[in-house]
Amino acid sequence: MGNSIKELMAIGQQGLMAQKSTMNVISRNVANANTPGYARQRLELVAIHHPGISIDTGALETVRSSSIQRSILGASIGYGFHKGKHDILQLAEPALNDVGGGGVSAAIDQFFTNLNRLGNDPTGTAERLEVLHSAEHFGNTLRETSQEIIKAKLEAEFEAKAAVDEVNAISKKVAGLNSRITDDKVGFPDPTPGLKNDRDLLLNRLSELVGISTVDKANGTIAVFLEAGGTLVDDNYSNTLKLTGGSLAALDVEIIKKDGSVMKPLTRPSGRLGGIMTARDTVLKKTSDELDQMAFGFVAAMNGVHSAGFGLDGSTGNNLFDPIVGVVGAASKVNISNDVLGQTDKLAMALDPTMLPGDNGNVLAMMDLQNDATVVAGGKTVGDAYDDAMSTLAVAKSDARRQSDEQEARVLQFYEMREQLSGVALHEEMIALNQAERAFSAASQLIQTARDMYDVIMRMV
Amino acid sequence: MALRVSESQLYLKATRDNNRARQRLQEATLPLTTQQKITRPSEDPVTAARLNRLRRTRGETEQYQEAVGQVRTYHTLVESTLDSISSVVVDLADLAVQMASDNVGSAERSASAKLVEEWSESLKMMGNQKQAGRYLFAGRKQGAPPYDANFLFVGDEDGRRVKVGESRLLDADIPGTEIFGGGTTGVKSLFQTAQDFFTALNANDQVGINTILGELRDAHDRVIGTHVRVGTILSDIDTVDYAHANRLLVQTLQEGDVIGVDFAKATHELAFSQSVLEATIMTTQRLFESINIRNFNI
Repeated sequence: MGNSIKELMAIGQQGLMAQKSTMNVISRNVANANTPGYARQRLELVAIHHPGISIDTGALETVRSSSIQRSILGASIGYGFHKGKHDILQLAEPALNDVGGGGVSAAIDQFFTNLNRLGNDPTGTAERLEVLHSAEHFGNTLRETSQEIIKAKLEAEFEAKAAVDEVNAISKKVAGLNSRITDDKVGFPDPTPGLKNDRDLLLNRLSELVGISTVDKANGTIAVFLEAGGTLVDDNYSNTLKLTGGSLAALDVEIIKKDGSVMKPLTRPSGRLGGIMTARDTVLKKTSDELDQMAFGFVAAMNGVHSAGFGLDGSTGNNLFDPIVGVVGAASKVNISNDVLGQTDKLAMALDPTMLPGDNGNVLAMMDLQNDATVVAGGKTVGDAYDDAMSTLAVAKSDARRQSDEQEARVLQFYEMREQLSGVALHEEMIALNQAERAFSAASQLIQTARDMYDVIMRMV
Repeated sequence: MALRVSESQLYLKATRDNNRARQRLQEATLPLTTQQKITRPSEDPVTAARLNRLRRTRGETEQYQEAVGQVRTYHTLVESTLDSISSVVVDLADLAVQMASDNVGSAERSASAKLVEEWSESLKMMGNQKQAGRYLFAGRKQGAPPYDANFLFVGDEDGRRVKVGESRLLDADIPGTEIFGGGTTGVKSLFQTAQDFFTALNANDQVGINTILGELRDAHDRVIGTHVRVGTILSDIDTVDYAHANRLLVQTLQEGDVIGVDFAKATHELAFSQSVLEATIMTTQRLFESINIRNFNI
């Protein structure tokens, strides 16, 4: 009988200990309800039979799904790519925004309007000054637009560098966490789940920055590979990404391995870094190429016509704009030629020098360039060529915004799924706490009863 | 798996809904403050490109309208000058008829010569007439009067044309030779005819006066012919101007359709967005009040 009472007390004590552990886990869950990346824990209680029936703590389970985590990583890569692309393109968009009525498009209109006025009165000094000013304004506006695109490209370079630095820092931290996970022994409270939570958070951010894939290894570590090819993290070491190119050249990345050797990814990386690189080296490049084509074609055509005409002073062979050699960078080189700068008499409005000053034959020829589809390579008028450049940027930015929103929604959906599974629900924890408290009271009552029984027996002796 | 709703999930969703509602309100406010459907090309690249094209086309139409206005001013001036020239030529012809009569004597012819001299001066003034710094009948040679000291034509016989449509040019000059003859036309100039008339009157040359009468009739026909041509140009100008005015109206309306804000729709969207935001904020507030840990009575 004495043994039975002792056993009763032991069962009660086991119960108290088990419920205390349960309450500890619940407390941790509640305390971390709003900790980003926290995955709730559940303590399994198991029945033990020696010699009576009692309970003990089983495994401490961290509720998480690796498939959901992988889905978050996958969606984050797409989101990062389109967001990165959008962030850069929105820096360049104001330069080609004519919706309010200004910009290059309006400058082209103004130039031709003033040419037309001069055509109506080729002798007018005010008309000549207006043509010169509007030609200068066109050049200034185009140069500013070109400069804004260059600035956006420069900003993209900084952003790409920042992304690469962050990728390297995160890779290092992930390698560090891998190392701690293998060092830590699983015990109670198990520190490993916390480390894994931290690692998941880092990987989520990493996947937003650059396209990665992960492999869970048997020792609890994770290997991280670039989608574009190459290893980023394996066990406790990480390789380093390096940004190359820049300035006038396209951006590229290299992987510097632990042994110092260099490896080139097979393709352009995805994620935010890839989005930035695409915005810079594909969209902005195409936009500036189109602007350059427009500027080159327009200046060449205008100079061709202008130099064939005669100024009020009878001079001929004068250029209206500085001739541009080569298409590359043409938009940033549109300047009024010194042949006519500040010299209204040099504006070649006449075709017949014997009919000065009223001949407007050359003005008419210059005006014909407004709707001439041979001015810009590819069979475009100057206005259409500008619209194409604007549309290239606008369509890409609009698409990046739409895709970024869609991908963000996907990422959030997966986060919701993760939260549904791994997040802490306070009401659920409160119920569990209530149960644990009652079980704790029951175990306590059991000990009290055993003690009372023991006292009664002792008094009987 | 049973549907669980965790605290983070609620927070995540509430934050997302709040952000969306705020963004929607912000986007709904923009059209009303800017009075434009879009403010950036990326909001609607097709609209932005269309807007650029419409504005360029409208700009061209305005250019052409301005050119039409200038050509109209010139030809209206020429038309009134032609009236005066015609009147003088008619007076000269009437006088020639009278002076060619057998009943008129040498004294009367000599006295009339004075009148012819005055009319001739008047014609010469009209030939070198300058308006707003421009010689009316010099064509492109605007630097000097079209008639020199001997009243020989030294101006331009072709004249300028100006662009009043994408592929439409209008004559912007009536050369003096078209009205007064001379130059390379092979026709004796009106000034010479007047001079010959003066000489014939002083010389009491009845035969000469009869010849001049014929020349004056031809000159009158020439003035009338030019008058008709100017009238035709002015009529063309009216047609072109009317077409441009219509085009401009349509283009302005199109531009309004493309970029202009539908205020009823925009106001409705703004009111709706405000309601959505208020509702979202209220829901979030209530939600977080209800999940406060102190509300759990255990």
